[in-house]
Amino acid sequence: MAAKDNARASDIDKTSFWWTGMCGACHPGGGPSEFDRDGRKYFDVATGKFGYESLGKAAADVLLDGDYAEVSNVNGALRAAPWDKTGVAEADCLFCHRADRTVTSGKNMNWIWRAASLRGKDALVDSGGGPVPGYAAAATAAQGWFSAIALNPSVPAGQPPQATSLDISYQPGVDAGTLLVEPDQTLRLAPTAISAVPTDYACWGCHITPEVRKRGRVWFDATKDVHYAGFNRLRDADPSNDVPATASTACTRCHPSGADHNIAKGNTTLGTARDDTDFAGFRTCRDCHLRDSPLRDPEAPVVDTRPGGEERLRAHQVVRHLDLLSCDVCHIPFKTDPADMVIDMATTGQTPILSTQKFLSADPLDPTATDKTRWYPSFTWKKDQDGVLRLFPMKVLLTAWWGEWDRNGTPADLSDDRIAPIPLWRVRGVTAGAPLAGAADDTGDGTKEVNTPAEIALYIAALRGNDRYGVPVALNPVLVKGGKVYHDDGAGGVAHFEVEGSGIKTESAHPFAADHNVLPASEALGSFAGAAGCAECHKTMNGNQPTRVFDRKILVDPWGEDGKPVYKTVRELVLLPRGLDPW
Amino acid sequence: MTIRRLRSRSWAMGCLVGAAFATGCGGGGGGGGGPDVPAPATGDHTAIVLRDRLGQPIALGSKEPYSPRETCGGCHDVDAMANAYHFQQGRTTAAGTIQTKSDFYGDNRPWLGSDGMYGKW
Repeated sequence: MAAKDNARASDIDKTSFWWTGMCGACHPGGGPSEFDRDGRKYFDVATGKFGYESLGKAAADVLLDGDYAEVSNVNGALRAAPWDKTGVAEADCLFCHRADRTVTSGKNMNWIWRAASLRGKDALVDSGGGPVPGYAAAATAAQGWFSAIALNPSVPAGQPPQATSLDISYQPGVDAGTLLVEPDQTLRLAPTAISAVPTDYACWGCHITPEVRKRGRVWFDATKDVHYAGFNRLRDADPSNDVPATASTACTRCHPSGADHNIAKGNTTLGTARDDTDFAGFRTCRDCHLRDSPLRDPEAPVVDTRPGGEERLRAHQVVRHLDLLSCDVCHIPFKTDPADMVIDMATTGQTPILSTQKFLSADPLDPTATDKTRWYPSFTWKKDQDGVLRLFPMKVLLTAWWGEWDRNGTPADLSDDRIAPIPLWRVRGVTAGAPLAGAADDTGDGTKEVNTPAEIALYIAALRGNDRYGVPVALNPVLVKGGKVYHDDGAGGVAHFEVEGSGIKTESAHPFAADHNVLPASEALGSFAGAAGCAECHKTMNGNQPTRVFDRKILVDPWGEDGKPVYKTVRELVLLPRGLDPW
Repeated sequence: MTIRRLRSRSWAMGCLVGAAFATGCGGGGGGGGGPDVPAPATGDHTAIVLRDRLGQPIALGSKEPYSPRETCGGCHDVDAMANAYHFQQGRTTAAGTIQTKSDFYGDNRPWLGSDGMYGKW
């Protein structure tokens, strides 16, 4: 994201205005969609003034302000952010608290309408050509309070929609009983339109992107998530008590919130996310299921860790199992829906996504198997609610990208170096959004990729050229891919080093926790109803053969120098405490 | 700096109504609490006047967008609620102070503008 203060346009990436329009669909408004980094509203419709004006600044003073400028992600063109035309996107209360949501053919229309209005930005008009403030109108559009909305048909499938015109009208709300008309024709929001507890569709509208795409999660499917099924009474023998998907509030059972609206969460593996609130109010597996938990849910199947407990729960009683393994490791054994596996930003400066189906398979020991009905996660150590490090299943997203390597004047010491991502609009200025001439398809999949030393050298040379503002795109461009940093070796060639152990804070592997789609004991790892039982993990129990858990293949580089994907086993990636390894 | 703008007339009522209107715990507060206290069912809210960005009641036939801040903010402390992580993504502290800065942790990651997702995009 663009800094607040910038010395030149070349330093500006995504600004607050750009983010509100393009990313605001999955954020509930308020905060950075409403106020600048000085705490001023970007534009106050009551006074007709921009926020910077209250600080005595003029438009000329904020040309390079990350809150009041916008750089086109297409061509890098700089303009003043027209907050006066779009308005601001306020915290959208009803986006979550609307009771009767519109779900059409499984599509969350409230989310779609809101996204479309935001992405309409300052080009949004009504059918008469009059201006419509795309950001300010997003909350209204989300409620379906319009007579017509036109979407840009050129937006590719899978991308959030963009509205070209929006005719605000409250009549649909009146017709639906959501809005009540007073004698003086003013409107009131009907009590029945407001839900104190957000339904799952309120959460899923936004979380479908990080959940489905990044993690392969499924919701609203009783066969694929024991909690969704259980909370909504979908697995008992009485169909009359089933809670329909549109009324499900299963999300809030584990992720409740209070008046402060901080929705309870766990501990992310993707950097930090207000870690001071980790696990605050969150209902973990252990809270609800452990026999001695003070928060135990009486409806949750009990997990008895005492020696001599129930036979079917023996795995829980084995010494150190629950000390080392999260519940997720065994109860989220695989995923059935594809997820994003690789984003290659290096070859074109675009963001093409490659799926788990390309790199993984239903055979965890053979990623090339043709059965793609399942894929198996990796594992990462993560601090659990009780402060204990345990293994958790992860879908590790791999990225390939170009960075500017600043050696900080100490070439012999990597630990103080910085590798900063180069904004993609600047990379595309070099590539024109296509592979450079000279790049080849080394993987044989019909798509070119930058992976050989010659190709990397070609890109490094090109990225030393100037952007549209006459500024070198990078002085010392490096490719970050597969846990390695590829750089100019100073002799016309390319060298590389491993990020791990270098001391440089950079990454090309991003662990997204599997977390949801919990399966019952009968389908968990080690289930005695399954084929392998203990041998699913323990090599000493399967004739010393590779195990489906600790010898499964984990992708670490989508394409090595030879064009072939590079895998490591869990055994190679995850170090267990000495003497406690399962082999 | 602090961006939370507490309204004296709305704070007390915001606490009361907000507690009853909480997402999932019906008044747990402090980031969660258990689900033992049932939240009010749909329909327990009063009918509220729909207002535009200038705070004016919206009439049928209006083309003005409604304002959540003006519509809900008469009773609820919108700023306090919108200081939650889902809105701010780490842009503010728990106290509502804007904390953004480049290289937030001072470890050569200039793209980290906060202790949350804010700044990473």
